[in-house]
Amino acid sequence: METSTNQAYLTFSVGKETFGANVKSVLEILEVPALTTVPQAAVYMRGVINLRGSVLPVVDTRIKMGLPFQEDTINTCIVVIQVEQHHQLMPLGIIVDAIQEVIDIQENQILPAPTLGNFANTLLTGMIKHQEKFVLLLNIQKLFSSEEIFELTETEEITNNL
Amino acid sequence: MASLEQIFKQECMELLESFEQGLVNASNGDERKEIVTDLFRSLHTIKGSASMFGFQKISELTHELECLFDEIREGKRILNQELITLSFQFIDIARSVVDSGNENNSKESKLIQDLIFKIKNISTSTNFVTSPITNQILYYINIKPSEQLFLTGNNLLYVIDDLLKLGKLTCRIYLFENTNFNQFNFQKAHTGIELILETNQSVDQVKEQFIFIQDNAKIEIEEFNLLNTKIDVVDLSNFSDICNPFLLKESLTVQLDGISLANVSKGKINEPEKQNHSIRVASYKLDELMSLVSELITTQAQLEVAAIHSTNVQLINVVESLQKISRRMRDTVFSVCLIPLNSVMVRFQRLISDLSIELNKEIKFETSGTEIELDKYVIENLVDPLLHLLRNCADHGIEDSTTRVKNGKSKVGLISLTAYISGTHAILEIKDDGAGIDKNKILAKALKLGLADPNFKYHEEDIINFIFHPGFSTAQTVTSVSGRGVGMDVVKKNITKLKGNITVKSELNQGTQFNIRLPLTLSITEGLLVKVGNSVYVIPLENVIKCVEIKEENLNTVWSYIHYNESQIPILSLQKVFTTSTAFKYPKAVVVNFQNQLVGLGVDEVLGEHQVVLKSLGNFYKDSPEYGGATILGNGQVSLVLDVQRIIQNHLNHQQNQKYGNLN
Repeated sequence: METSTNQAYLTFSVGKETFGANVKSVLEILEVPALTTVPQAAVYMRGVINLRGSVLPVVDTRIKMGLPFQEDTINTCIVVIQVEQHHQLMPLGIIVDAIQEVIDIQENQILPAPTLGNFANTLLTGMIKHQEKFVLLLNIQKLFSSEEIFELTETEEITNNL
Repeated sequence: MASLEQIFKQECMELLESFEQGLVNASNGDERKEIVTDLFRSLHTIKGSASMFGFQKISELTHELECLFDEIREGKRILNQELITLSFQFIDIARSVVDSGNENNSKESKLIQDLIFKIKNISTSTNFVTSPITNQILYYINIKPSEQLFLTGNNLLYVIDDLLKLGKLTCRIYLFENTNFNQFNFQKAHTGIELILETNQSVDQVKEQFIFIQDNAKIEIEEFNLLNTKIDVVDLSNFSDICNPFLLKESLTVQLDGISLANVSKGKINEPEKQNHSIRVASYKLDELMSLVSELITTQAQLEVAAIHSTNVQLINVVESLQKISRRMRDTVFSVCLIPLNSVMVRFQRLISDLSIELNKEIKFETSGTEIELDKYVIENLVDPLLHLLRNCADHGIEDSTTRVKNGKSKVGLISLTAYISGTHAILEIKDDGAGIDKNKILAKALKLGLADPNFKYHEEDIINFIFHPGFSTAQTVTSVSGRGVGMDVVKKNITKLKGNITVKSELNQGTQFNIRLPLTLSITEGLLVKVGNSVYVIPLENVIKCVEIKEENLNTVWSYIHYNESQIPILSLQKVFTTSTAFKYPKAVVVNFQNQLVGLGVDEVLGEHQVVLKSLGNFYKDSPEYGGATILGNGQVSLVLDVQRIIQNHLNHQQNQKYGNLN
């Protein structure tokens, strides 16, 4: 029996990096609709939107990763993910700069993540090479269920030099 | 799909609850025989299932208790207080074991063994009642099963076996009319049994043999009492060559003809039970249904908004119909999630019953109006506060019999729970005719704890409200029942969580009454839409007193004063709170009630009233408690619902200007 398992990852870009998120955590992808801001909330909370009758909170991923705020472009999307909070799965929307594609990855293709920098150590589950680019496999759960802001910039330098 | 264990647990809990209800009824003096039979049946089923799911110790315990109840059924034992108490203990242990899923925990094992020992002790001592008459009786019995009998796992041959234990019998099998051999389904029952039974058992005892199949079979019994006849022995072989069905009964009558037959009872035990009118539904399905209906309402509201601007008459008509149907659908679905208060009454009856024994007081518990239906969530969260209130009534309220008689009251104390619906609220009154609350004691304790101002003259109603303060308890000793001082404030907190409120009235030596007022729906409130800057917010209408125009021109701080009704009231600029705008002039104010004072909230525009379906903002906004939630407006926009009390409180803390320091 072959043991190498296939996993599907959704790739998207935030800042200068390309990330991959396991599709198990992804519920859907939307264009950015009218946002209602919630004043005096955490700085990385962009606000809430109406998702078919429920109120979905939306996180600005750039700010969560310590990057400066940027206006949305035509490519900006919201990825609705499922995050575990207090033993319950809650939906959450995250804003990404652009969606790329869904790729199939074999487990044995996953390289260990670069180990320098706080960001990499806590948030990356690995890294793969896809069409001449490095895709950082993100631990969605860790990034979005905590209240910290993780500094991405350190990792950027590393991957640029790979 | 629920696992088998979950199904077992649920069913076992239901059986235990129905067993408990029966016990409570029996202990309150209900002497109907069916109660004992039902109790026995419940135990029998619990025993079987428990054994099937590996709870051997519980099964053994249930078996011992079942034997006792069997004796009670047969009239060989009376259901006395001792047995009732043991049965209640059994319920507690069984519940705890089934809930935890483990009967091998040493504490639980020991409790089970103890109880088995006590029950066995009782079995060996008897409290016999005279045994039934011992003459021979002939019964003609016709068992006609419904088609599904075999699907319930029943086998008629076992019934025959049981009947054989009672005496002698001969039987005849007959085929149902209209049986089509071309479409014969061997899983269905197509035959019935006629038989003649000769026994000295009473008709009730014969009927008992059918209790497991009586829901799925039509049973006819005719009794031929031979007491007054000259026949000592009936030769049943006389009937054995009758091949023609239904002639058995005629032939029996003919044979015994000429002799006076006492047809004592002609019992058709019952028709097969009517089909169940209710169905069990998993709660997650209901939650999904509720949320889909809310979505439907929201989408339909958007459709309305779009249609208003259209001139297409047909469209407008259809949209109106859709609105009516959606409203009715919402009301029906909401009512599906309502359950009657009755469903939790057993716990309260049981509590009073236990307490009256433990505290050695005679207490009667009466309920009325408990058919009212409330949201499942509300009922679940009401149980603890109500248990606590009832405990208090029994412990502190009702006096012991001697004191009561000395004070000219009846020996038995009365605690009553009355429930009714008033407008959009449900009201629950818990009353006792006991000692009442000593207001002087309360005031003394409040002064000692520093909660009361020694120079202030408090009204009677205010004094009594001190009991809702955390840490307040005037009980001198801590008993297992009450006195730890953690009660009343938690009760109040739980009621407030349900958006309700609780008040109390009391007269010394006459009694105490607690009134709980609860809104009928949690998630829909009336709100006032207001515009501040570019955003629309909702202010819950329950806080709003009035909307006014602002005439003052020179308001330039977060907090100001405006004229209102011949005096001045403070006003908080929501513009300043929610936006970074430097403009100060706000044309309108919404006057709200803040801790019995009037405070204004400055807004740009008041848009109108709106029925709001509250949606939670979720955990990501748990640090922004100024919003009680959000809602979706007709145009699809999300609008935040303001928690007025919190907003005002938070901004009071921020105020810089000493001029406004006397808001409290």
